[in-house]
Amino acid sequence: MTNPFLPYVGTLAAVRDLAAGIKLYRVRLEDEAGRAAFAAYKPGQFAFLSAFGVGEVPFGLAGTPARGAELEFAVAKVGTVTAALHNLEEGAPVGVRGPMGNSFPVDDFRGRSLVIIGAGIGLAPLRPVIQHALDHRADYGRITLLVAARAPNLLCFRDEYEQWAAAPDTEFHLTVDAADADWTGNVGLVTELQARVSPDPRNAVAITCGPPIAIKFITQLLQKQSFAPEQIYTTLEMKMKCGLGKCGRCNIGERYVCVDGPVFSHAQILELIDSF
Amino acid sequence: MAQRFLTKQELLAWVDGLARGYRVIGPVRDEGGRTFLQEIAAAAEVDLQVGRPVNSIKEFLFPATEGILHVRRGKKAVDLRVPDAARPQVLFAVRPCDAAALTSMDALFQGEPADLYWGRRRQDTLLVGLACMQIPTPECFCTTVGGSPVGTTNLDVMLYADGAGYVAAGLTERGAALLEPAAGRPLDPPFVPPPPELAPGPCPPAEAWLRLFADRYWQRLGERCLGCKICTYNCPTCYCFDIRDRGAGGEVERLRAWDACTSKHYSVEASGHDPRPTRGARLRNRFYHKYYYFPWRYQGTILCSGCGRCVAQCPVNIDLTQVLEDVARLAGEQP
Repeated sequence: MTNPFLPYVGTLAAVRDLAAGIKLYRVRLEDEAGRAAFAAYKPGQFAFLSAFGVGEVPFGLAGTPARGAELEFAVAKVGTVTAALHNLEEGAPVGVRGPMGNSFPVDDFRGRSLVIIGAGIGLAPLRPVIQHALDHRADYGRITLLVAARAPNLLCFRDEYEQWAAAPDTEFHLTVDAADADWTGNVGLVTELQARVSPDPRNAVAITCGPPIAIKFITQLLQKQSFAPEQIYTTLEMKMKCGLGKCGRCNIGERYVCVDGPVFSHAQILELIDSF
Repeated sequence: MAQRFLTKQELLAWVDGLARGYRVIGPVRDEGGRTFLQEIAAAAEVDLQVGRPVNSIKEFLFPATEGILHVRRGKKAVDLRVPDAARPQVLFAVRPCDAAALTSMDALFQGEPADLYWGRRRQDTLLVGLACMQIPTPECFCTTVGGSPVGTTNLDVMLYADGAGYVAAGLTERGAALLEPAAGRPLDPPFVPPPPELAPGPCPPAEAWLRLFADRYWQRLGERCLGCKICTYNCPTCYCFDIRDRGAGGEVERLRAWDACTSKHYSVEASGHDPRPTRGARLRNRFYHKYYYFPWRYQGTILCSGCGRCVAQCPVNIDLTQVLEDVARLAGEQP
């Protein structure tokens, strides 16, 4: 009998600073079972990362299997486990459980335009969608990317923007809530940028992730911009312990974010008994 | 299956015999006059008069704290080991409500992906029931949630008190084998116990719960709640758990421990955001989980067996049977 609480053993193959207080971890899975489990994970799925001795927490997988067998996690230092992960160095053993949850229905999105809006570290779980769309560029219509953060030093994956912006039929927009001395780009809330860009809802899907307050206002504005609730997707987070639909923690009404999500359309969110 | 009649002495001798092959758990009265289920050394300790022990059988299948992973870690390598299974056990004098509670717990833990720790303990556990020939406590409401004071669900053996002794009925093959060494005389024809009367209270349907979610009722109820969590710990079906690592240096244990959705810290995220920030919202989650969310996911199975512990033990008299009545009534009054 397999034991879903037994993590696969991995090694921190690379650690680099992604933004202020946020690191990107690349994890190499050390055994065949782990590599097989993660051979074909989907954009939007997540996994638990263990800092042995401190605990484990879930993160959206930040890459795709097509871009490499090593798993990528964007880790902001906010709690005890993430602080312990930040103390680990390359070569350290970690545990990985997953992949878990549903995914963005990127196959259903084929033939449609994509509007992707990521705020702060919320860009990390959207990065697999971006990578997938760019790797299958002919399958999708126009791609509109909106990336935002509170400050320039909190922008994640900055070294990849140029490449994203250069992809065919792709527009890329960037904003920060507050500039620093070196910033020459847009200043303002993500919704101000979204209002100016005014993405075209025809034959499009919008995919967004960020802090709850950002998701709320981005989604409201998308609907004003004539996106139907069925055209809007987001990935939710709740505190989780098991990721298996057992520990009881991540429910929103009758749904568990871990097994019924984390990806939900806005239409599904409106049906939740406890829509927040 | 076979039944036999045992005097109390014969019954206790049988239980003493079981202790040679099994860890035996039964109700034991403490010096303060309260009866807890615990491991027994001798059958004479067992309190067969108690209606409902303070604790449920939950902790013997799903321990309050349990090691799920032993980790030996070095700088560059790590060794993971799953702890061995505990020894086989017999749960003795289990009331039908506690046994019935295993139906929902099995649905949860045996459902995909199956839980190794629950599964192997469940496999290695035999249940000997003690039928409620009278309704044991005023808080009992098993019939409201589809149970019966003499229900045999999930039991291997059932005992029925009858005059000077007990009728013992083997209900499963394993139960019949367990009963094999018992003395006493065979009962032929078998004895069918007359069940005591317990009128079921209202058990509101899903529509009622749906209609009442945003009602002020929950906030008002929450104002009484102390957040003490006793309703969850002694509940035979409250299963929410936490996972934590303990240990320092090279030896670490990953623990699974009971948690409670009525706890203030239960769903607070690292950012500080709390999706259920009030006692009312947390209490509502507990009741909805039992009567709406869990049945929604598990084909109508209610996450409650009507044992009445939460009713009897709540320090501020939050009464689940009253909540059920209120939900039925208030939902009827909603436009």
